[in-house]
Amino acid sequence: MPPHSDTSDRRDPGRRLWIWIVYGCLFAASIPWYLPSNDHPPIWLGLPYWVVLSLAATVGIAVFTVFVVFRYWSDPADPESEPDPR
Amino acid sequence: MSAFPFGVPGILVFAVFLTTLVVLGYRARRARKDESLSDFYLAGRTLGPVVLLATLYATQYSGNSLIGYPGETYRIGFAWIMSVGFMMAIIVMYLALAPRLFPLATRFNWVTPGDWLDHRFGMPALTWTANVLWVVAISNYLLAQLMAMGHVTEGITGGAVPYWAGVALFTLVIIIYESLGGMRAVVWTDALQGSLLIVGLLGVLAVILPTPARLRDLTEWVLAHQPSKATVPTWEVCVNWASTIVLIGMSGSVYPQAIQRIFAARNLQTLKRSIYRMAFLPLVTMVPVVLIGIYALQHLSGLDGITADQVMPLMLREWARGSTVLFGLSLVVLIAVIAAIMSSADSVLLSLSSILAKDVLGKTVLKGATESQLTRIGKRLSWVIVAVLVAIAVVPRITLWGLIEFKMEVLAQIWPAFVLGLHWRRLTGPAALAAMVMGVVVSIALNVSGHARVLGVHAGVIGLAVNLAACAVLSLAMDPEGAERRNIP
Repeated sequence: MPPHSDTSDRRDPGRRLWIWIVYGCLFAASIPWYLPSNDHPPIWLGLPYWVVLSLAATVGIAVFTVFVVFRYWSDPADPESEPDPR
Repeated sequence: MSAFPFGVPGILVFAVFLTTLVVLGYRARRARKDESLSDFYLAGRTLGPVVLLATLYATQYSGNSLIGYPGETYRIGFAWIMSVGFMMAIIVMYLALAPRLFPLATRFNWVTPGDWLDHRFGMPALTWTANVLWVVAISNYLLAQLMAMGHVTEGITGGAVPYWAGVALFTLVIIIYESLGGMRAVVWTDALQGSLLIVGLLGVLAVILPTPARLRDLTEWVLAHQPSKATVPTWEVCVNWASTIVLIGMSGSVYPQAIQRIFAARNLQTLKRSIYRMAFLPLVTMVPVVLIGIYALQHLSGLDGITADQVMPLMLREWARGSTVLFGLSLVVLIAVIAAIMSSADSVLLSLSSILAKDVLGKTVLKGATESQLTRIGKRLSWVIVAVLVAIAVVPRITLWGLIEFKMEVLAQIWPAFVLGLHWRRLTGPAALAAMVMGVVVSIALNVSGHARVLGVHAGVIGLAVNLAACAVLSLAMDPEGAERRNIP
C-alpha cells in the first residue's frame, strides 16, 4: 500500500482544509457569542431570536454535510464515483 | 390513581415491548452465520442503510439525552440548544475518520477499534492504554444508563417500584437478548427503539406546543419569570458551549460502539447514506427535548427542590393525566425513554465485551484461543460486567450528566492517536502514547483539583490541547527524519 497518494486524498473529505474551515465558521455561527445582550430579545417563530439563528446555523451544518459526503467522499473501488479533482 | 399513572394498559404495553425485544434476540440468534467474532460483534458486516442508520441513531441518543438533557434545559434554559450542535459535531467528526477507516476495517477484518491502533503503530503499550481508557469510559457510560433505568422507573411510579428494581428488570432483558443474538439482536432492537423515540418525541411536542403562538406564550413566560434562561447567553456560557462542541464531537466520534458500527456497514454507499442522514437527526431529536425542558420550566414552576434528573419523569406523570391522545403519546415517550436507555446500554455492553474478550483476554490468558471460544467467553463476560455495574448502580451518588461529562473527558484523549494517526504520517507511536497519557493526567488533575472548567473551557479540552501539542512536538523531536512511517492509508 502506498503510504500516501493524491488520489486517496481526493476521496477523503478529511484531507481538505477548506471543508474544515467552513465547518468551523458554521459551528461558530451556531454559538451566539456575536450577539448583543438584551433584556427582552425579539421573538422569532415563537423562540428567542438567537435560538433561531443558532438552529439556522446547525441546519447549514447538516446541509453542508450532505454536500461533502456526496461530492468529496468516493468509493476507491468504484471508478464512476471519482470525486471532483478540484 | 395508581402509583403507575399509565395503569394496567401501560403495564401490558410494557410487557409486550420487553417480550418483543427478547423475541428479536431469539430470531437474531437463528440468523447467525457462524460463531466468529465478526458475526457476533459486527453482525457479519451486513448492516444495510436502514438498520445502520437506526442503530447509529439509537446508540447515540441515550438515556442521558432524554432524562439528563430536559433536566439541563430546566437548569440553564434555552442555551441547552447547544445540544443540537454538539450532537452534530459527532457526525461531522465521523468524516475525519470513516472514509479512511472503513476500507481498512473491511480489508483486514477488524472487530475492535484497537485493531486500527495495532495496525498503525504496532505498539502494544499504546493499544493497551487506549483500551484501558475505552473500558473505563464506556463502563462509566453503561453505569449511567443503568442508573437512568432506575431513575425513570422510580420517578414514573412515584417510588412505588423502587430504583433498584428498575435497574434489575431492564438490565436482565438486555443481557438476555444480547447474549442470544449479539450485534444482530442489538441493531434489530435499536430499529424498534429508534422509531419509538422519534414518534414519541415529535408526537408529544405536537400536542403540548402545537403552534408558534403557543410557543411564543411559553417563551414570553420564561422571559417574564426566569429571564436569564431566555436572554442571549453570557460570554462564559458561549465559551462553555464551544468547549462542549469540541469535547463531545471528538470524544463521541471515538466511542468504540460507534466505530464498530462503521466497521459493520455492508458497503461504503450504506455508510455514506447513514452518515449524512444522521446529520439531520439532532434537529429532529434535540429540539423537541429542549422544548420539553422549557415547557417543564413553566409547568413545574410551583414545585420546589426538583433535581435535573426528575424533570422528565415528572412531566410524563403530568401528561399521563391529560387527554387520551396525550396519555397515549406520553406512554410512547415513556417506552421510548426506556428504549433509548436500553439501546445505548446494549451497544456499550457489546463493545465492552468485545474489547475485554478479544483485546484483553485474547492477547493474554486466552492467547491462541479460537474465535468461537472468544465469542463464548465474551457472552459470559457480559453477564459478569452487568452484575458488577448493577451492584454499583444501586448506590447512585452523582447526577447522570456528571457521569457522562467525566467519561467524555477521558475518551477525548484517544482522538489524537486514533484520528491524527489516520492523517499525519509523522505521528509516532511513542509520541502518541506519551501525549495520550499527558492529556489524561491534565484532565484528571484539573478535575480533581476543582478546576473542571477553566474560564468556561472543560478540563478535558485543555487536556486535548496538551495532547495534540505533545503529539506534534514529540513526533518531530523523536523522529526528525520522519523515518517511522508505518501503515498510514
